[in-house]
Amino acid sequence: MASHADDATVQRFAVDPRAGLADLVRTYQVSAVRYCQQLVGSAEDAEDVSQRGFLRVYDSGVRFESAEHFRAYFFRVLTHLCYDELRKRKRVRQIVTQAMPEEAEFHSAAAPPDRQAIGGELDALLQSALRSLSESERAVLHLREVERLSYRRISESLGITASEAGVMIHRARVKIQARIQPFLDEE
Amino acid sequence: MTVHCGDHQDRFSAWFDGELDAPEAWELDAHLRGCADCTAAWRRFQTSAEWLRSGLRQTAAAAPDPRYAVELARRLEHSRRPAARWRLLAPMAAAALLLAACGLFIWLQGRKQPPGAPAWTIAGNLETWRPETGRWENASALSSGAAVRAGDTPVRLQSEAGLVTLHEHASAVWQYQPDGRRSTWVLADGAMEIRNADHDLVIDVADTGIRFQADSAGTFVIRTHLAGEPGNRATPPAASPADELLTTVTNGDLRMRWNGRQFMLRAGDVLRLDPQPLHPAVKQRIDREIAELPAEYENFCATLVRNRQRQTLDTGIVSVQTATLAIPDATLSGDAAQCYRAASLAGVYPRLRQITARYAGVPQAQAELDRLVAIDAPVQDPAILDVWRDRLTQADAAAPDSPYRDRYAIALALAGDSEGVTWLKRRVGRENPESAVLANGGYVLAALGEPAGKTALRTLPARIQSRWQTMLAAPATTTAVSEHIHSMWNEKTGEITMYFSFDDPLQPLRDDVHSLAKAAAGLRRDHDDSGLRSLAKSLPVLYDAALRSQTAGETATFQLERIQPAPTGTATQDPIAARETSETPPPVEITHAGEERRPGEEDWDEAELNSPEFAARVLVLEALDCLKRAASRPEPRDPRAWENPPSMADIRRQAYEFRALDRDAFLDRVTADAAQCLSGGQR
Repeated sequence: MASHADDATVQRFAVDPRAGLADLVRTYQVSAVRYCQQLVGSAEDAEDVSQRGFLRVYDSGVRFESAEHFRAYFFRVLTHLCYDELRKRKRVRQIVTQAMPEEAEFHSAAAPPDRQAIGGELDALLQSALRSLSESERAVLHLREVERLSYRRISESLGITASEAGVMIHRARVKIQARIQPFLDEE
Repeated sequence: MTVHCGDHQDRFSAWFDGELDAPEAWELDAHLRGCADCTAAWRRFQTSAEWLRSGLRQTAAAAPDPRYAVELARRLEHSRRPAARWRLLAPMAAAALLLAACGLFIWLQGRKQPPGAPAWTIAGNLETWRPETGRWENASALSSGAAVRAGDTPVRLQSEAGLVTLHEHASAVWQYQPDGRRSTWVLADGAMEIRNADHDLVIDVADTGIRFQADSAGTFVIRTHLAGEPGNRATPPAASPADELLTTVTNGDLRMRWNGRQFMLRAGDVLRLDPQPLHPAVKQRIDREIAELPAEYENFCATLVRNRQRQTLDTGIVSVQTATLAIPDATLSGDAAQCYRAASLAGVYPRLRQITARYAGVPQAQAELDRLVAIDAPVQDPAILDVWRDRLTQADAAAPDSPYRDRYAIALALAGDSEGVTWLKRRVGRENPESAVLANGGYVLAALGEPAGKTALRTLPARIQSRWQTMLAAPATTTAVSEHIHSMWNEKTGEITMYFSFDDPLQPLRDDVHSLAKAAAGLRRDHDDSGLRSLAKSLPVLYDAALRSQTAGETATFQLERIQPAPTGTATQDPIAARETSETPPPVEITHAGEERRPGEEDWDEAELNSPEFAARVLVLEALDCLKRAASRPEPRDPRAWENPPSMADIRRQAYEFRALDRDAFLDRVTADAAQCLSGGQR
């Protein structure tokens, strides 16, 4: 698919990181937040983690050659930050021994009003199905379906092989199919 | 259900995503066609996966929070503050630096835009069409970077970048750079209309990779998506494929970059994606044929059986239509192989893997696709190169005399792969002089600058040598190797012979000649001698056209003596009639300015070989050779006598494969044919 940002944006960042960061944020803000939200659940945490991702890129000093290069690097950074966030939560939960309130929040804050009104049931079904997946399965599914990355790019973003990415995507789809098939059969 | 089925079903996801290699896709497709369980499982999986994809993408289409950028800017300033470790070592100094950093932050904030309106954000007014009131209502601010999605009614955005309307259910993301006077839209789905923009516009159509650029615009409409492509839509579009790709420009110039090609459209133009440049005469003929197609198609079955030229033209039309639309659609063409070829030439190879399922029920398609895709696919794809290497190895091991194995070696060589070059070098030294491997391989090696290539070409018969040498001597051929590879059906052997175009200026004419030769073979197969004679008489016309186009007014100084039919055509001058009335075929000679040239007589005369007249004569000679070979074919003269049922059966089969006969008609006729054969072959 076409990149959401052209190479010029990334090259501008390479020449002048301070000024170029604004372009990067404008281009990738939505992608970053929704990806992080898919992994960590909470919209607030997703914003926080994605902003840390931008800062990490800014501080890294990496000069990206192309938008594709940037996307692979950026999503890898975001993935690591999200996993860190989840690990931190687990530690906190062990101490406080309370359930994660975010578990019910997947995407609910991001859903447009018309979708909330028309497709509330579908959304609930989708969110329920997504919750049945592991973090890594949600990550590959999101990178494939929403960010439309190829298996190769997904593998670069997650530090796995392309075939592993394919297996994880298939496994995630099969799990979700098992949950929604009765609903689709009714339709 | 078997373990084998489970293995296939494990590849559903990769197939759905277009990530399967071509051989795997074909294997899966073939399995699905023969396995009802897996077909049902695939349909369930596809429905579920499309539902999931649609749901995730719609849910994710959220507008960004404008406070995000402000918060990030604040954090960026904070991140410049000293690290905790340093503060631990020197708390007082840290406190001082913290104060200084805060002061710097406050100072920097003072230079920024107020919170909520960072420098890179600008607003436009978003309105929704209310059919009940007939008005645009509910204006709200929209920031740059926001995603916009229309519901059941259109929405429009008014800003200084123009008036943009998103049609029903369309979604897009808007980014605006006031300093650069540039407005960028990423159109994810649906159609959008842009009016009165005085800024530069970039419209990035997300799924198709098509990018439009306009310096300024009055009105134009952009639509997304190639119709019917799996995975792009939950619901196929109602509009025809042509509508999906047509772009009308009514004001302003539009620059478009598509698959590495640049287009410039002017006001009033209608964009048609036509990546294959056509010879004007061919294009004119095709346009005429397209206009006549609806009336012709009703009798196409009968026409096909009687006249194979009709078939040739029709599949040509389909190819051009398909390439024009860049949408291989089997229901449109009835010729899967041609569709694949056209689509491949159009540079849309990645889609081929996604649409393989459409060609179920075309028996010859798999073998054709195997060859054509391997030949025509873009050579930069490492996966394809791997496939070619495997095929070359397999062909070498399984069928040393396979006529197809050299294609993979040649394709590899043209792609710059050393394995292909090595194979060709090794092989051309062992081929006989009539070998196509020697001719094609030698030509490719020579064009690649390998001395072995020229050595090989010199062992060819003189007539073949001349053709290759002429092509190699053309200025463009020595500098670059074209990726165009043309497959030609050889009516004598039944195989497809490859020709390589190295920007040969005569290539369009060459194509025409070969089309005629192919048509002649079909006519001969159908025992249409009068058609053959008519065709033979058309060759001088073609020849004259070649001269006019190539000599730019110079008077022709030669004639094709003894083999060129007179304009009026007599029984003795007609080459077909001459072949039938004489045991000795007409001499095939090339004369120039009264001099005779005998095969193998001398080395090449560069000046003569470079002349367009010479090339034109070679073309006509090739066509005449085809005609003569067709004429000498020992086949029954009257098909109605049913002396050769397999021939008729072959015609029926081809008619069915080209979908000129539907399945029921085909089975009925075959049954009738069989009964007639059993009853003594009387019709």
